[in-house]
Amino acid sequence: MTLALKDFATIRDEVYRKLGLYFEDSKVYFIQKRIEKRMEKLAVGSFADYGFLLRFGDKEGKEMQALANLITTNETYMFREFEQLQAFADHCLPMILKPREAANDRTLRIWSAGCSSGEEPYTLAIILKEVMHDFRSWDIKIRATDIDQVRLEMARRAVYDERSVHQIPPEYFDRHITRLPAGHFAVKPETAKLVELEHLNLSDRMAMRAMRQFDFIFCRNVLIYFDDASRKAVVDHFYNALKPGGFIFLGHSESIGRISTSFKLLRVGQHLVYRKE
Amino acid sequence: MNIQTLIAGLTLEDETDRIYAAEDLGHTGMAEAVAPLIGRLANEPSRKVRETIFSALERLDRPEVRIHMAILLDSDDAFLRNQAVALLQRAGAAAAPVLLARMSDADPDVRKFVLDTAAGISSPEVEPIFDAAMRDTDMNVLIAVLEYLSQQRKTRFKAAVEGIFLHAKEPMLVCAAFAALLQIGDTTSWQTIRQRYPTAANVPGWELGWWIRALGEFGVAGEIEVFHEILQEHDGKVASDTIDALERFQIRHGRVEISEVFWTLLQELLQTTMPPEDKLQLLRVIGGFGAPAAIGEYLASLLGQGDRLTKLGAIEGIKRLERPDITARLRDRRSVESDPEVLEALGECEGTPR
Amino acid sequence: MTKVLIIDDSSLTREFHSHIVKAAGFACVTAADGMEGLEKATAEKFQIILTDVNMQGMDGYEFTRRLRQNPEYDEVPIIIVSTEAKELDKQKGFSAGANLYLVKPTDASRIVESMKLLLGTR
Repeated sequence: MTLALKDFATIRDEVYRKLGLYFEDSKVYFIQKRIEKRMEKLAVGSFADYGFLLRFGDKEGKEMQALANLITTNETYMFREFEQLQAFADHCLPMILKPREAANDRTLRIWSAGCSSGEEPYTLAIILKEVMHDFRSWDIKIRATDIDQVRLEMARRAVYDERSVHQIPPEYFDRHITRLPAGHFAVKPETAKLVELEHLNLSDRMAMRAMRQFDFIFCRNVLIYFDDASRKAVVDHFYNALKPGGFIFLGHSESIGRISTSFKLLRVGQHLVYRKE
Repeated sequence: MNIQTLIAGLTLEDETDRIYAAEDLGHTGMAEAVAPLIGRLANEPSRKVRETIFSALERLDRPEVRIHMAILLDSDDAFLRNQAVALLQRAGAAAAPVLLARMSDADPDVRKFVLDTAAGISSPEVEPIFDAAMRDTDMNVLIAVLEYLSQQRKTRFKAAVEGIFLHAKEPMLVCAAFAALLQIGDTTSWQTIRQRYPTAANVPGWELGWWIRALGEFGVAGEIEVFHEILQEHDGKVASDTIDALERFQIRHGRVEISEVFWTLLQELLQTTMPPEDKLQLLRVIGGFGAPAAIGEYLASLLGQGDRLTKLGAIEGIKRLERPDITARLRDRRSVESDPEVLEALGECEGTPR
Repeated sequence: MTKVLIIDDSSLTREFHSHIVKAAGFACVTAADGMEGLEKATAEKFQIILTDVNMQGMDGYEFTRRLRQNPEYDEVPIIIVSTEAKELDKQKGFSAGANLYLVKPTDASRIVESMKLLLGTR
């Protein structure tokens, strides 16, 4: 049987409620395939019954997490979610930089929260170096934090395999990446030095309060693994960590609207973004 | 951290300081933190601070908080009301006593909020609220509880819902009861539905889809030709719902025979433009009928003609048919078929060596 | 075709209103709460909006206020459809920027007439 839009909507709404992830109608087939795996495992006969189970029969949220693991990809690679990065580079960055430049206050602060092995902050570094003219006259810091020391160590080494670099736009590649033997690639030091890596637990209230005055916060595909209350607390801290007018970027299917309604919604090009008032 | 300092922090000038104060008060676990947090809500201009106050109150997890939340259910401020509902929902069974107390409020809006809150709590302790709502005199409370019963499949209200469906005048109420019967009803509900809407022609506009679904869900084997009437009268507009209902009907009744004229109509329907998933499903459904015998030959003939989708549908239909002579045609087809997806579907049939 | 956005946390109400609106010849999109409504209204342009008041996350008044901050929606009619019938509630609706306030349960013809009226006068 095919997943009827009505049943899809029920399941989609429940996922949105619990995880803050929102799937467009165009994702029906994608979701259906994953739900079928769960249904087989649980011996559930219909999509309507699965929706019912997810909504009323999943007290501890275990099934929701099992589904979450199937519908989110853990893979990380540079320039992931390209359109969002484009919106950042083409629209949001100028919105911050122009007035700064006019006021002769050439500072830029970005936080990559949950940076894992570093692909995201290095992507941001590449973007900044490529799109900002007069780059050297700016005081730029990308703070990249993660709870996992092993991943942070990988980030420090800044050496990756093909999977991590295959989406870097070709015209940027050789300017920022060095090819190493045995199919490895290193981020050039000139680019990597924009990134400061540090250990941080997003649930550590006091440590989070020390993060202030950011223009951009990226926290993509991290919050889905938190429970409702923790997620809210983290987003509260992000709010405080942003300067007025600062932007927050979650994963492109994650909706911050479910977590907090205090951010302002904006359309830039074809993309929706959130910023602090 | 000194609680008095934190309480004073709620009125600091900087928004961030007030957010931190509220958050820290939430972490104190102290009863004294509750009243100042609630008190601040009325005067706090920042939405973010208000959100943080509610997070703090939730973290405190004290009975005083729940009592205050229940009071907020009739606040003039929609934000406060909705936050109170959310907090009480997450409190679960612990919220039941305060909710029950408010269910007898004279204001129907408050009763509806109590009901909305209870609907988000899975616990036997809130069941009395559903009972009370089913007896409520306010239309909106009644419509809301019908929707909740439907979503939560509370079958114990079936008889009451049938009663509402039969006698209600307000269109939205009839609609809510109809939708609920689809979820919690049984074959006697079908009789109730037929009392109000004896035939498809009696059903108001778009609810026809539900009537058809009810036919599939509750109809008796002898009513198979009603599907025929529906398709004849309504052309392609209800085809999708009808095909779904037919499949459901077959699951319940097993192999049913259809008349020659019905079979002719289905063949005509297959010639029309329909969404691919409907076509696939219809071909599968066709294989589930007991007669006419011509069905087998028809499906087999589709293996050699038409596009991939038609072939895949025919394969599914043939599998459902469970006639060895027709299944054999699947094996025959394997040697001449070139489309890889079709070949894979052919290969999945029983008895066909890989 | 005129596009309508319908915002309501009740899926039954969304379905009910969608059918009414489509039968009257409009195209429609639905959302389950104010924030989702805001996202959809920001991503594409609607000619008229029907919104509930009491929804989790962002209520209908807040939605209306915020949408009015978007210059694209200065003139777009917003109809509030709510269970609450008190004068104070209606005032809130108008203060937030709504053009009309209807009380549930909603009469199908009333909704359609109101929509046509608001769309006709510009």
